[in-house]
Amino acid sequence: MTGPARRLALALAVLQVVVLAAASATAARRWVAAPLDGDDAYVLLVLGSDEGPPRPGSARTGRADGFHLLVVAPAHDAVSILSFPRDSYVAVPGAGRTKINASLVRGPETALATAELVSGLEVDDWILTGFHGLIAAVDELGGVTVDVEQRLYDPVGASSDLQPGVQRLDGWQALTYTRDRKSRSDGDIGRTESHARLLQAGHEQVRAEVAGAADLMRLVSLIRRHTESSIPADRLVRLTALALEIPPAQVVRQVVPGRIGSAGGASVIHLTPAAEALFAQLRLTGRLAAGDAAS
Amino acid sequence: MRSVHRPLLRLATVLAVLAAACATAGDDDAPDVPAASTAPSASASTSPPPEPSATPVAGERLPGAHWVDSTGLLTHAAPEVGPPDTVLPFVHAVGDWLDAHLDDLQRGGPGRLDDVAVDGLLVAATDEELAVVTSALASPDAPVASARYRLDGSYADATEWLTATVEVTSTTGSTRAATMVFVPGDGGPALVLFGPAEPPEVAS
Repeated sequence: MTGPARRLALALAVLQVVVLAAASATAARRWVAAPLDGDDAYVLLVLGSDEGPPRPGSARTGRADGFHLLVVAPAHDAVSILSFPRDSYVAVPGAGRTKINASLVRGPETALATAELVSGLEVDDWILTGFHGLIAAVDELGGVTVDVEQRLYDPVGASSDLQPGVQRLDGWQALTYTRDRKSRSDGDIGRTESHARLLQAGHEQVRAEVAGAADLMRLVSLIRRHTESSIPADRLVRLTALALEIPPAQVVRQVVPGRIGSAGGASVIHLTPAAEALFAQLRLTGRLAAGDAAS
Repeated sequence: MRSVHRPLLRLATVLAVLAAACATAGDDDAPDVPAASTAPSASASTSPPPEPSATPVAGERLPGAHWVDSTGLLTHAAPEVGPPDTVLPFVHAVGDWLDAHLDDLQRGGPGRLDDVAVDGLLVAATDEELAVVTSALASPDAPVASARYRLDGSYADATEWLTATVEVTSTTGSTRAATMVFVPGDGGPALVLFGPAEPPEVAS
């Protein structure tokens, strides 16, 4: 075979592999969903309230001890999770400078406005859950498998005593995992990161377990039942379908950088210039680089 | 996802009002001749393609067990009862569309996806994927002997979405199933998602 003929044969072989790979990828699709509207990044504010059942207050007006921006890249091929420590000292519309978790006291719309003000991103929707919602959702998923970094013990709240290592957490254990900060050497920063870890682990797990469109809709129902949100039903279906298409390797998470300080006698976290760099990166590209990911 | 399924079953409330409505719809729309009469004639001495069925499709509408009340979620104050009557027009509209879609397919038409699909949905699908909800369900060569639609959904003040799991048995004896998800659109049900389903998913 001559040189050009060999190159042609090689090119054809490569083309065949690509076509077969594409065909097998297509054949493996479990459903076809309408894409999210628009060509911009989609930004969702994920809030975890410290109120709501079993506590008497409303989850909608508690403090947001979970405060995360989930950004779907414009190409809809990657997700970035940017997690704010609850003590982040920021400007809250109508409340001056205070801890970011206080923004939810004025309602999720104020929390959303705060996220926009701090990050410069246009935030499309918010979604909120509380203790009871988290516990019930994790239990209905049959638990979530997480690599617990260290022993965690929450004698006052969930009363779970978690040992380090990979394990399947039930709802109450997941609450301990995401709530306990006193056992953690890195305190609230570690706790903040645990929220994103649980989200990422849950994503990876349901992505592997959801077998078809009917399963997907059961998941959508589960999300709807244990959260409140501004997400219209139509968009929730599209968003869930999209999330399950995105490979876990394309989910990047990062805790917003800050340094511990004080304000008005309270311990707070001042965001550093590195935080603004992350915001700028998200505004520009709609994604965090994998190298930025927290471990 | 079986672990998701189990608790949902716990929450499941079969809708008496919907069941009644579905039963009524079934009575109204029941074909005058047995479904088996749509089978190709056995007297044909050669083997021409089967004649298209002239029997309109009237699927059996099964109330789903997975209705979600999207009001009062985080307070968990919402009673676990079936959805209100306000969802019934949407449920009926989806059932009627499915009947018309299958009927068009078994008569050799392209089906009615264009009438309900939201922008971007059909172009996102390959021909093979589209076939799951068109030619695989019904065709002149395989007209509908019976169809069943299981309908689950979510509602707040009105329907949020409706998941229709469609099981079609053809006169050739084959059974195919698909899942289609509808949301309220400007002109009625709007299809946002579809995919293959396993026939047991519609077993009641």
